[in-house]
Amino acid sequence: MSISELPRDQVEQVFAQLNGLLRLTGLYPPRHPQIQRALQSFHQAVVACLQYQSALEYRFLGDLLIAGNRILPRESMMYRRFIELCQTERGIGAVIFHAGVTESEIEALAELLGSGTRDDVASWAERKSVTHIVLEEPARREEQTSEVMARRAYFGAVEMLRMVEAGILRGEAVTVEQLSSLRILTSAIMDQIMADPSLVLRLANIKSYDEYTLYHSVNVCVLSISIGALIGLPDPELRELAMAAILHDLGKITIPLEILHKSRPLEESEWAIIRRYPVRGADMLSRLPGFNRLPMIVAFEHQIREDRLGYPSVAPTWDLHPFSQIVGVADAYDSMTTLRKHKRPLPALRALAVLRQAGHQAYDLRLVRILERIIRSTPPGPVPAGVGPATEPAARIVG
Amino acid sequence: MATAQVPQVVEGFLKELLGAKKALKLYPAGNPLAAEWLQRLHRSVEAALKDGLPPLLRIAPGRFEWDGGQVATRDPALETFRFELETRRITEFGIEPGVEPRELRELIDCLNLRYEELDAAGGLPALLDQRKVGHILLRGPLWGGDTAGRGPADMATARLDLLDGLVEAILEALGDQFRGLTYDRLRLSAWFLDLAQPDDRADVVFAAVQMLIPMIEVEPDREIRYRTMNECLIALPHALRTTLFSAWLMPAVRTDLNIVNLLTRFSGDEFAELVGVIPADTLEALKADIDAIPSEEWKKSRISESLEDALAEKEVAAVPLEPLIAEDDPELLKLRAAGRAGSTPESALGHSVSVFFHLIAETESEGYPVLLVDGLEEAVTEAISRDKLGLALRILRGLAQGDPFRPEWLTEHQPRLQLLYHRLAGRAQISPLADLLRRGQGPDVVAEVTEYLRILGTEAINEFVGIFVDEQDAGPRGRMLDVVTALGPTAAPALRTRVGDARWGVARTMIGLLARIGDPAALGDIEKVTRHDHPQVRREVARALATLGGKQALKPLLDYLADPDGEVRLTAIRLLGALMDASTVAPLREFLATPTKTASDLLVKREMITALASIGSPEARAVLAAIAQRRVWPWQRNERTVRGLAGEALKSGTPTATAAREA
Repeated sequence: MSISELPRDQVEQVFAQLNGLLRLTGLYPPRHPQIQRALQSFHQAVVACLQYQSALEYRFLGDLLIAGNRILPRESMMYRRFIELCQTERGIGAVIFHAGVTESEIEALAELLGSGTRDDVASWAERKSVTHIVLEEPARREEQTSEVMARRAYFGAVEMLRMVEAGILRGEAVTVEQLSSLRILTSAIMDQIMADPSLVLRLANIKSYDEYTLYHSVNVCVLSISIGALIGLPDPELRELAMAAILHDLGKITIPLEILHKSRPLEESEWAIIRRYPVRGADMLSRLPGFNRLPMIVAFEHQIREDRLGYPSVAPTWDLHPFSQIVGVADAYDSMTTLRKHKRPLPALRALAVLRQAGHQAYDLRLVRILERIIRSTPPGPVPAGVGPATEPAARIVG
Repeated sequence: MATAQVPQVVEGFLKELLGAKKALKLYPAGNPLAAEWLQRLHRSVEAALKDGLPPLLRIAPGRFEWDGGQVATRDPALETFRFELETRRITEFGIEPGVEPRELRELIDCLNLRYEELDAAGGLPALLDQRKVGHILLRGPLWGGDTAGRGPADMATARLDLLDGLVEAILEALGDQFRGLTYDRLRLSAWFLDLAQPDDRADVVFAAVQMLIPMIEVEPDREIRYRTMNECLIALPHALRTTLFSAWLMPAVRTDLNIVNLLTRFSGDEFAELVGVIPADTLEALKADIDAIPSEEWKKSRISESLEDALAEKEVAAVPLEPLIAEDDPELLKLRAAGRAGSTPESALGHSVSVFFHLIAETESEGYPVLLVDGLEEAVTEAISRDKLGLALRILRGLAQGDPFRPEWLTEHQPRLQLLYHRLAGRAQISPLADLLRRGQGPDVVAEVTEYLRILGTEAINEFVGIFVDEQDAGPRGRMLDVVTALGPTAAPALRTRVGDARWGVARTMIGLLARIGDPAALGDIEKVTRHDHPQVRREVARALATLGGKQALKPLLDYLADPDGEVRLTAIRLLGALMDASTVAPLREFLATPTKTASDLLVKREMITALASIGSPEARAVLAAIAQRRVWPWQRNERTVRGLAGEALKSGTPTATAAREA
């Protein structure tokens, strides 16, 4: 079982205990019973996790906490100070527990986290005879931006959206934590895209047939960030745009699946239901805790179109928000280039041609041209050097 | 009646079971997709039982067996499933007619549990028994009714556990390595290239792809891993890629659904590029084969249609390209400015109000009005705090006019709107309004605040007047005064309640404002303070009474003729004069008959003479004549002046300015 399969709670709880242990080391002397109890409890939790996997890995990248392949947005937020301390003051970029870890090794780790060391982490491990806990140095800034990281953030966003939607379906309110997590993940996606523009298409080409709306929402977020960045929106506005874009289709959750996944052309009554979803989405977003208005506006407006002939129906004088225009273009493009049960995906250039032809009437032609620039001139991204693998291959198949 | 061959029925059933198992593991409880999968499985089981699904399937190495037949697990996904059942120590497995969806769900939930959880619950059969699953049969060597002789079984379990642990550890380590590869494009690309060495061995790369797909399929983030792999395949050197696709991947579509899944995950452009390198005759043959695949209709269609496009050499080449927009294009700069302006909180607030009104009219969901009221309250508050009173007014006007709403909505939610007004009329909401007046200049602010208060009504005005009377700075106070004056009679109730304020300045202002507004209902409240301690208030009362009460004011004004404060007396006399009522002649005559001792007395008498002249009745003129003819001694300078003033008044109607100066 990989770490991504371990129950999320378990991975999170172990980290919470580690954080608790660090706090206690600041309050009590090393041999204090409180510390000893916390050490024992933490050791048991780690050992329990290591029953199902060979290693338990926590990695710190900037503001983010990553366990295995998963970004833990909630913990990234909750233990921000701890994550920062590890990287900046203790020189630790990753903590990896291996099977067989002992209580004394954990005690040494707690001491290191509490007081630091003059050695580098490798010398510390040698001096303290710690063999089942591997500490890595913090990644350099350029190492923090990578395709792998971008994919983690992308999937984290998909998972978080899935949780939000499942909660809504169960009649539960969206929580502040979920929204904050989503913000952290969209920001992580944005940071990666800004560092490596070639990621835009790599990410936006991830599609899902079964969970179309979730992946589509993240794709629209990716494309919107890219359009916003090319326009020159400042960083805070881009982050707001990313949040608004990822939530733009939340109202689709109210559309019955048999309509959403229908492979035959829709009937008028079914279209009427579809046309209601922006209103329903805006309705839901207006109820969110710590209510931010932009997602509601974008959810409501993104299907209205420049000629106001989309839906919901509004007065011809209705003034579209610039973010709605951006998301509208990104939404149309991703929708056209995605395989659905009722339609084939269009090639990118053909989709752009459709958008161009519809421009002025349906979309802001300038935004379509910006999207075209992104699609046509995005750099291909790094390629593997030479013929040999960058690292030792995992295995070889003998043909 | 059986309509299909038993091996196909068995295989179809097992695949449905596997699909549902994956779906229930992937999607959270309550997810409609999970429920849909479960329903689908139930339908499939019922159909399979009708079509001859054997009552008991045996799990054997590389196959599922039953009495009279078997099906080999050539499909890697099916083999993985078989292996999993085997490692869970299941040797026989059967479903009886009448099985319920609930039972199927319980089975899948149990199969998705971790080994140790199953062990803790006493094993799979025990767990199913606890959950009252009666139509599903599971048998294994270590459990069931024939477990006599626990000793050897326990020993066997221990050995099995040890072996399981070892195998699992090895598989897990290996699996982790491969799973890591499918998340890392650069490493996976490098690995594919390495595998192909030497001589561009496309067959080896193909084998690697075949091995990876089942691993990807079971991962929750499989779409991302598929994407990684597809990017790597696209990036292969041209010759290797051409061979891989034309000789291995495309032909495998006929027999391997995993490859179909892989191919449908290429984008439209990528797929067009891939099939573009395959010779036309091969494509024709492939298309025919794909059309004959018995399942996954829509995915198959997608590949088939793409092949048609490739054969027709259309798509990308037909699209005309236009020059790209430059980074310094003026249009881009305009967009930047619009984007920045649009993302300000003020702009978002303005937009949100429009959306809110649309939602009010459109949304039918229960309980929404409550939230809507909260939202509008927030919007109004924020608008005021951002000096956007016009926007706040827009909201209030919208609500007051009920324009965007259906009439029935308005009727239904009137109490809720009243509550909104009530909230907006509170001190916390009105204080920022006063702040606006403190900060802002000009008639616009005054007019907007006035309209805002007028819409909200008495409660809000009362709060505002409360703030106004406490205001110390002259500038803001003056603007607030303008607001109250502009509010007119609607402000009167709030002013009346403060006429008796202990602070004389407040009382005087309230009385003055009531007089200015011209609220006759205030007369009673004002009359109550005619004996106020402070002469300034009494003077204001006198003026207000004269303004509001007309003739009713005569009595209190005449009373003020005896006021200890000269200014009050003077004011009263002037007002009496202005009232020009003949009934005041007698009291004036009496006062004029008193000795003129001081300059103040002289001033008062001058005003009285003016008043009598204004009244102009025969009685008044008679009084004036009597004074003008009155005998005075030469040293009675003041009396002489009074006599002169009366004479002058008789001649011209009023005393001259010279006489006034002399006085």
